[in-house]
Amino acid sequence: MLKVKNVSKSYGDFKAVDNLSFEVKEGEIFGLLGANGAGKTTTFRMIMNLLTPDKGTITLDNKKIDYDVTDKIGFLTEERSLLLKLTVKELMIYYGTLKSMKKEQIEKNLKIWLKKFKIEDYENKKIKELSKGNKQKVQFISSIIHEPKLLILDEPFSGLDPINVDMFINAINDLKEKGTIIIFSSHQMNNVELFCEKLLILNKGKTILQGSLKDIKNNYDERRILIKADVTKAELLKLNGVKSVIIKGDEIEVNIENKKYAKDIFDYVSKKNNVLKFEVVELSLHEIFTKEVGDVNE
Amino acid sequence: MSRKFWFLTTQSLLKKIKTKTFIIVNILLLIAFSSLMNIDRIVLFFGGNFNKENNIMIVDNTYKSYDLIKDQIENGSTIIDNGLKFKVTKLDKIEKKKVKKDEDIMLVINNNEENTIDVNMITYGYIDSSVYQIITSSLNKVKQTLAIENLDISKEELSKLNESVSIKREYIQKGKNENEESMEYVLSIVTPIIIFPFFMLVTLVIQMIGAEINEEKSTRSMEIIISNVSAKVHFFSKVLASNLFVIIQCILFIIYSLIGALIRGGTPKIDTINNVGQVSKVTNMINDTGIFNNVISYIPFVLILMLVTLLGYSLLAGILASMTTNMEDFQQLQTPMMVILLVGFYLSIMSAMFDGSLFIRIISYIPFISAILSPSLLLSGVIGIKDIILSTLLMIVVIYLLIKYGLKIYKEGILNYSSNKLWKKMFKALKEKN
Repeated sequence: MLKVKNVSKSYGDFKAVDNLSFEVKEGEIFGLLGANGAGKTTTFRMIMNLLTPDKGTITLDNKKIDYDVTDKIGFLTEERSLLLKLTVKELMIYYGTLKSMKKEQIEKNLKIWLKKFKIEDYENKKIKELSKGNKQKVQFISSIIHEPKLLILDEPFSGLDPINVDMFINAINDLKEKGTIIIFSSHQMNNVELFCEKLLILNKGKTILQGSLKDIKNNYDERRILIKADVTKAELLKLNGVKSVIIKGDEIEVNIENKKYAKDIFDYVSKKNNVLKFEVVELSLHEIFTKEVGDVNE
Repeated sequence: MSRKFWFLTTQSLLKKIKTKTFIIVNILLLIAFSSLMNIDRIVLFFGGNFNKENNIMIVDNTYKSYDLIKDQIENGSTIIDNGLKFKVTKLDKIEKKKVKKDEDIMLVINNNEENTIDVNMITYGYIDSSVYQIITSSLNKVKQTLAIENLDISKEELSKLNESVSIKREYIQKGKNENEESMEYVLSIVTPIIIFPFFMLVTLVIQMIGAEINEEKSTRSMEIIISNVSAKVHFFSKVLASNLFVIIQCILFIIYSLIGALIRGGTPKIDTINNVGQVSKVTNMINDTGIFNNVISYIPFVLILMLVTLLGYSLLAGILASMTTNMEDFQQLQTPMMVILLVGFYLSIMSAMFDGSLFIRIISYIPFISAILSPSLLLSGVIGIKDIILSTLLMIVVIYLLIKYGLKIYKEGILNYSSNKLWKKMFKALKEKN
């Protein structure tokens, strides 16, 4: 289990991470979200032992992070960290050996993953000659070649086409099944919703939302109501708790500030003619993220 | 951790050695070394006129200068035998049509008002400066002789006057000999031969470390590497690999020279070509000075100083490279290092000018300069083995400081991707505890 407990890190007067705490168990995918400069990279760097926290502790299976522990961690950086002059095989041997792997094991694992990603022919090709998508695949393989206990994925899908995204999703799910602890960071919230059971939203180093995806969405007060009925925008705007009304074709989208107002609105709409639809939906993670991060930044 | 250190070192070294550039450069170097050591044979192989004779035609309007000039030009001695050949003939009148090529030189000798001579030199085009020098020095001697003759001095007395003064040298200090006195000339030739390869190798090591660290930084591979090995291990692996590479290159230089010598087969063919004969004369002169005997006893000390300095330069280059984010920035930051190298190089070449100067002796102790300057000062006797040892110790102190404080900068620098407030960050890193 990865335990991040009361961790803080400052650069001079700037507090990059402020009292951060979370835990991720084996086979869990944890989403660490935040706008640029929120403190995600600093957190990853602390987990990778590249930075020492000013305060707090980070442990993997109750062991403090050192070079033996980092051997068990895979890290897919946001900016691609590939040595372009090497061939795919040379790079894997390079990174694999740094993870204390034996050459034979690296070669064996590489063959499996190259086949899985359908790039077997590129084993002896120089990385600089590969396409962006294939470089991304190589980068991904390099972070999992040593079968890590903990895998950090920082923007794993950037630059990938939908087919490759599916390939990555399958691979990540396979690793999850095998019990790998996965920390996932992405600006594409649809992907986060797809994977993460638990997540944490950081803003300017501080935790602003934390918990399971289901709870976060459920506990978030705002709701959206989708209505198909003979009711006007002006009428709806007069009701308590209504923040905005948007007409979308034959459907009306009503945003309410708290789910408690949904019943009153339902009572009002149900008296109208031609009520074909009345659906209360939770906000998407993208909306929650935008509102929370936007609100704090305002 | 030691397995990872050796892995990083080997990878870094192999990456340099396995490149096509390294192989091509070394093939070219082998060709260049072997060719230079056998240049006379190559020149001979391609053929050409090596026995050019300067045809001096003299129109002697004084009726007494011709024999003197002929004697001076054909038999007159110069400091260095250039191997030039002269044929001196007499003409009754000026015949410019006889000056048909560069080797044809017509001298018209006239009496002047002071009862000495004036000369009109007619040539086809520009003439070789050595030829010009020999002719003018011969004419000056003739002019002196004619002036002395006017004083009614007998031929015997005149001949004695023209004879060189016999100087017998005696030295109070032990171990001094006449041959070593010509060291200044010899040093001007030997110093670049010793210093230039070192200068080149130091430049190579600086560039290599800079390029490699910046490659890892710019591709962000550094984050992956540093998460698996400490900055210290990474730093020393780069320094060791670069130094090993330079030592390998150095050994290859020696092998190429030996191959060149082997091809030469030890036969001194040089004398067959007068125009390049000077090379053999210089070699003989170096032999006569006993410089090689000195060199052999000095080699271990100088080599240690050079190796220690090479290590110092590579450590400094590594620290500076960690502070930069790309090769362009590194080029700027390494400029002071290159300036120090150049200062040492030029001072070394000019060292004979500073003979006896305390200034040059003090400069020779300065770390980073000492390894370049000391060898020439040692050869010329300005400094001794003790001074070399002192320079080595000073360099070791600098290396200790570079490791102690430079490592702090390196740790901070290699994961820094912004040149913003760079110096502030580095000074802050220096203050941090280990």
